[in-house]
Amino acid sequence: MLVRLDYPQTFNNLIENILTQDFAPRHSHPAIDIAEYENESIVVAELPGVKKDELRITFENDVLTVAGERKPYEMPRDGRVLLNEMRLREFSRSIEFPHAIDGDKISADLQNGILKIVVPKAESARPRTIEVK
Amino acid sequence: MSLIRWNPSRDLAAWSSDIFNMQREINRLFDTFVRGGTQADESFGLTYWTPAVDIAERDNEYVVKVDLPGVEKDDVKITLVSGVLTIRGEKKQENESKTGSFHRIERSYGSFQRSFTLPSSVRNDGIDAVYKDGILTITLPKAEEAKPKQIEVRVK
Repeated sequence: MLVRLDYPQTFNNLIENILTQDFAPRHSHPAIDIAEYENESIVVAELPGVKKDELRITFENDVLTVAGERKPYEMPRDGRVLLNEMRLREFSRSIEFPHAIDGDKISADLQNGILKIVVPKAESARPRTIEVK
Repeated sequence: MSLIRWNPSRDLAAWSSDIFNMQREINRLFDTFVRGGTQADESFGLTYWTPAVDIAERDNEYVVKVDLPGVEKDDVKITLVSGVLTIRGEKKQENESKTGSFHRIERSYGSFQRSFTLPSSVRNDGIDAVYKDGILTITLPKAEEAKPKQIEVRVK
């Protein structure tokens, strides 16, 4: 039996589905940047409205995990929601690095909703110059 | 007439690069819609992103909250023109982060703009905006005539 696959139609339906959905931005998990430098990697996560004590940063089995919970805005009794796009509630992200890490020296700083974690490379993973005798 | 040796791999290469371009464009399109336009649109040489917004209405005021992590206070402009609230600004990439080799870039940088028509009139003088922990909170008090009124009706 031959089944005609109607690709354009399928594609259009797909696009239409996406378009007709509420395509408000969904920020259910924080966006992160990871950059590697000579002696360290730097992880930057966007965590607007997250307080220091709502954050848990762990380093276990060479995996760095950033987890936490953002408390939703407390609606006053006479309040009504007109728009709700902020989706960040509970979040957890784990990162494995392509190089060995000095776990004891990881440091983190939270400012203006930006979490910056400095992950120093282990001595063995740092670039070294070998002198020719 | 010179003879040209037919090289099937050349045709294939040209054809596959078209396919890859198309695939990239489709991926970009999907990213734009599925991820809510947060992906930087680099094909037009400009970057733009859409911050998430919450709006609540109370009896006396509107409260607008915008997720703006890492945006400098001075890089945000808020205007209210004939009932339309506009928040625009720019998120700049930190200088230091340009020198590393990136394993992952999910954050969006560049300009953003969002506009909202408020359902009722707002007192122009009492608008207040606070930026804290990466969230911008704008409070707009309603104009007298827009507040809910209780009228007592005497039943005869």
